[in-house]
Amino acid sequence: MKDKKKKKSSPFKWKVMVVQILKTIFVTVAVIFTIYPVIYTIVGSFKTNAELTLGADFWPSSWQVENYYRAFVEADFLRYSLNSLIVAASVTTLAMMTSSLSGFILARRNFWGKKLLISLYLSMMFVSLGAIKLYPIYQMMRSLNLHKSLIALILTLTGGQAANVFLVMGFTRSIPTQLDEAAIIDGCSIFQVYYRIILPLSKPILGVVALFAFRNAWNDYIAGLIMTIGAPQLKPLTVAVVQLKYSVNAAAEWHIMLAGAAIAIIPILLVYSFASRHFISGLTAGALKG
Amino acid sequence: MKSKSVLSAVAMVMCVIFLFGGCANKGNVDKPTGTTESGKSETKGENKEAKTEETKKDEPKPENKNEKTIINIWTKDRHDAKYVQAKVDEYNQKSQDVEVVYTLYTDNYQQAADLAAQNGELPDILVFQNNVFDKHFGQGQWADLYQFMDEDMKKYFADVIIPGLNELDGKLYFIPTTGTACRLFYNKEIFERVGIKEPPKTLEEVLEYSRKITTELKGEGIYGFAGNMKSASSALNRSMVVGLQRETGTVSGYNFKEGKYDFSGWKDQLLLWKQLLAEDSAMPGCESLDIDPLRTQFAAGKIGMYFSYSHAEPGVYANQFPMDSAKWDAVPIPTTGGKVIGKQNFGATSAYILNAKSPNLETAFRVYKELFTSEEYLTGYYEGGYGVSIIPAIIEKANPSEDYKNKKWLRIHPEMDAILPKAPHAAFAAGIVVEGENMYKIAESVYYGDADVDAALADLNERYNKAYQEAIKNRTGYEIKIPNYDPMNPTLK
Amino acid sequence: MKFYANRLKKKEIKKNFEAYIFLIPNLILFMSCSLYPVLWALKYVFYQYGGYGAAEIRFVGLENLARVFRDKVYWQSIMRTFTYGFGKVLIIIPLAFLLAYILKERKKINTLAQSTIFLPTIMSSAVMGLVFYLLFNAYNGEINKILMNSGLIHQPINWLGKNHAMKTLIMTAVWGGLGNYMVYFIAGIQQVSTEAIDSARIDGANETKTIWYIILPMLGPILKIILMLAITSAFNDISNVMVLTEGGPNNATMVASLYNYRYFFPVSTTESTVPQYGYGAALSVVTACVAGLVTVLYLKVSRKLDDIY
Repeated sequence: MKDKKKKKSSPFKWKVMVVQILKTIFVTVAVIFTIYPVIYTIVGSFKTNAELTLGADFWPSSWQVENYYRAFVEADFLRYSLNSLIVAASVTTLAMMTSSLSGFILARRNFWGKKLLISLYLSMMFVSLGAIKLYPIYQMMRSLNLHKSLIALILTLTGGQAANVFLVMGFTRSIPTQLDEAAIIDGCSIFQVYYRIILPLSKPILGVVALFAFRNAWNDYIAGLIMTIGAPQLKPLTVAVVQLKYSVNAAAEWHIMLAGAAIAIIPILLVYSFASRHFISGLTAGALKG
Repeated sequence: MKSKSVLSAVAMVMCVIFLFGGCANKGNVDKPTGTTESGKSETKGENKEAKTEETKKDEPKPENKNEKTIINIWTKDRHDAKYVQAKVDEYNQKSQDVEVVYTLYTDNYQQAADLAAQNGELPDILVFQNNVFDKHFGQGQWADLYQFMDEDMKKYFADVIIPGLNELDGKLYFIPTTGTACRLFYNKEIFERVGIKEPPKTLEEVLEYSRKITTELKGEGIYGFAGNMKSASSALNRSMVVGLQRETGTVSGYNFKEGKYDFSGWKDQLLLWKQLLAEDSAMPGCESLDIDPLRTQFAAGKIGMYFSYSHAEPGVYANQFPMDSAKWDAVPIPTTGGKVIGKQNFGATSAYILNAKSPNLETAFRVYKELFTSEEYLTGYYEGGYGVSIIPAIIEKANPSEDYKNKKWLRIHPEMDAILPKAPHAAFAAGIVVEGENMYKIAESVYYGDADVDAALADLNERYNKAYQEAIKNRTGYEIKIPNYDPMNPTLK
Repeated sequence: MKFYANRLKKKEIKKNFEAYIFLIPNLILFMSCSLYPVLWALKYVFYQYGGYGAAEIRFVGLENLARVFRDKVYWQSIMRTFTYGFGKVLIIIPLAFLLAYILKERKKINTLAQSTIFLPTIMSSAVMGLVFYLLFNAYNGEINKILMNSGLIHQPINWLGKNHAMKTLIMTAVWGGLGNYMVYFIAGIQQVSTEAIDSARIDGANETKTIWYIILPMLGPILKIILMLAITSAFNDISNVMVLTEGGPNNATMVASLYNYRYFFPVSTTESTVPQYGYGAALSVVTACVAGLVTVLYLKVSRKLDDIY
């Protein structure tokens, strides 16, 4: 605010104005650039195929809700949405559970092999095999006979959680140990310390873990592609959407493809509209501590 | 604090999710991190159990009909999927003891089959595809059909049992019922508009006409030529590679007479293709085109010519992307200067292979026989325009779609189409490892890149022959040499 | 004494035991989903393995690694990964910084703009890859239609053709990453003390000078993190490339991650492609090493730069 006042009183008012206008234009362009594909998807999903392929007005002449009906029923998207929801919800839960347990104990206890473990976690954060790691995991799931159920995909997507473990560990360290000590003196076991003291206090960081786990699970493509290759009825939404390109009819039916894409992005948009601030602050928390 | 609202938001979302998912155990939403340690593992256990139930529900197998044997069929064919699905539904309704589950894979058919084969999980019946068949043949994966066939059936299909193709060492592995040949498809209307009277007979003419169409009609978004160039192998295997069989007498660069790879004959065509795909001729965006989007553009009258399979297109333009049948036709694939010294391979299609390791092999064969080899099915298939029948009894009886009656080159012509032997890299696909890029990618580097043709082809010769020799040496392959091979009268052995 | 030591040991054991109970759920997942694939890859580097039955697994020693170093196409794909990574960074960093600078103050309108620009970060890159394919394809794409209707171009631009595919890919990657980096910068700028900026202003420095001499130097540490993340992420991006271009045309967008992937899961429908797990493992191990080497080199260089300051 101080700045503004100074600017206004400066003799170069017009210059400030120009700069301000340039700034506004720049931001506006950036906003349009980012939002356009999203708007295109959502608005386009209500158009007719002819409107889409021949190029018409920005808004649909009449809103074709039936596109969604066709995607859900004919392209079987109801099943794939359900798959995605189950996977994303389970991954979120599992990620919060496993990372908070490990992060807590790594922050509070010394035990045999801790250093080794931490360095293993750390090194795995930097060694990345990319998508090919899915092949051995698939073979492993197969030998455990899990590959024909969503469990394989859920476990794969939850994964090692190294980054989240460190995030929780760092956060737990910032909680004063006096609290635990007092509880232990009161006769609490380490489990009770975790559950009664630490867990309620680490909600902020677990929220971050949950948001990002949900996002990653919901948006994942390649793990879903590989892990459901033997059981196509289990594939998640993203895979189903992309495969519309090769489906019997949809190659020519852009409205169905866009309806599919919209079905895949709208739920995460809803989550985002609830929690956009937390996504953003969570990201910085992760980056600065990690 | 804010954090509370995050968590409650997440919890809410998850509640909604679980409600939406109709999941019974809302319990673990309320306590996502468990109560005590033992409580936690319990929740986790519950969690998993619930998941299993749900995934079971997701599978299409109805649990209440447990007494029915489930026969799984996998296909990759999109053009006939609706027809086959209808037949499968009909069959399921009639059948007392069998439930057929028909699954359509798309571009990942091979991957799915490979993974399934490695894990012993192939379905009972698979649609025949060359590579899938070749790759897993050595492992004894496919069943001998003779063991179940009665004499009537053997007689009925006698004409399509070809030693070296589907009959190997006295065992029959699949029965093709339709044939497919690669052709050049063209839009008659566009040809008329720019004053081209005859469809092209040489590749040079293809180029000339393509340029003419593009120059004159570009303003309307109409272009002379297009190819599904996104996947070089998919595009070339239905065009250039087939044309070269007739032009050079080799198969995918393999010379059977000499028993070695020789790609030098590819040069002329590659250079013509480079011009054909240049800006003044081809439809912009070919590079990233798959075959189905290409067909939509052809159906919309935006493309003058393209190459594809004769079995698929009539069905596609009748059902998938409607187009007036009078507007298009097909001709043989033109070669450089019209030179022809051999025949071209025609694909034996609409065949099914049976998984020899299936626990229900006998039932699978019964389903196969009743579903896919009934006269009614085969006639309907031909008449519906899904493929050109090669079964004499059907050809005699059926009244095929107008397309097959009027468009000569959609049918198989023995003077041009024959079954050709397989080159080593196809005959023992799993045993030969060619280092570096395959022939299709190298071709792409010539027509879309700046690679020098001679150097590129010499390099191909060297690498393919080396891999072939190594495969023989390691006994993962064997020598294929037919000293008296005549490209005009190809023999398989 | 002995008794005491024993008791201590018991206590130790109990303590260790408790700790492991906490660790187990995560550890199982970590071992199976992070560690095991790496060990698996390290083993199969030395084998020729086509994946069909044990009979065909053959020990080949260092042959796979030697082949990696002969494989020109692979090294081209590494170079392309750099083009992709640097292209993305060079466009994103200045844009993200400017946006962060303009939107740094906590105002409602700024927050709204921030959330909007951050939006792509939460989208599936695969699904958006499909949408971008629809937007950019030359025959029916919306982008060409808009440009042609507005008279900016007269012929459709072949966005996914050999000349533009990489640029288009980078553009979509910028779309997906801009918000992320902007948020990093905002966090960084908010850490720069307002006093330093104010005092510079009082000294008569204008806005550009303040940015150049005060804010940018103070952003050093966060810039380092940002560049690091950008480099490592370039080696991991795969689904957007897969859906948008599949590496084509003529390998123009064949980045290392996709090249390696194709040895495990050959894509084509008609080509006789057999997976080569051994060689694929060698490729991915070498790629991981290259990525690691780049990171180390980068850290060294940036430390040197720190010393100069």
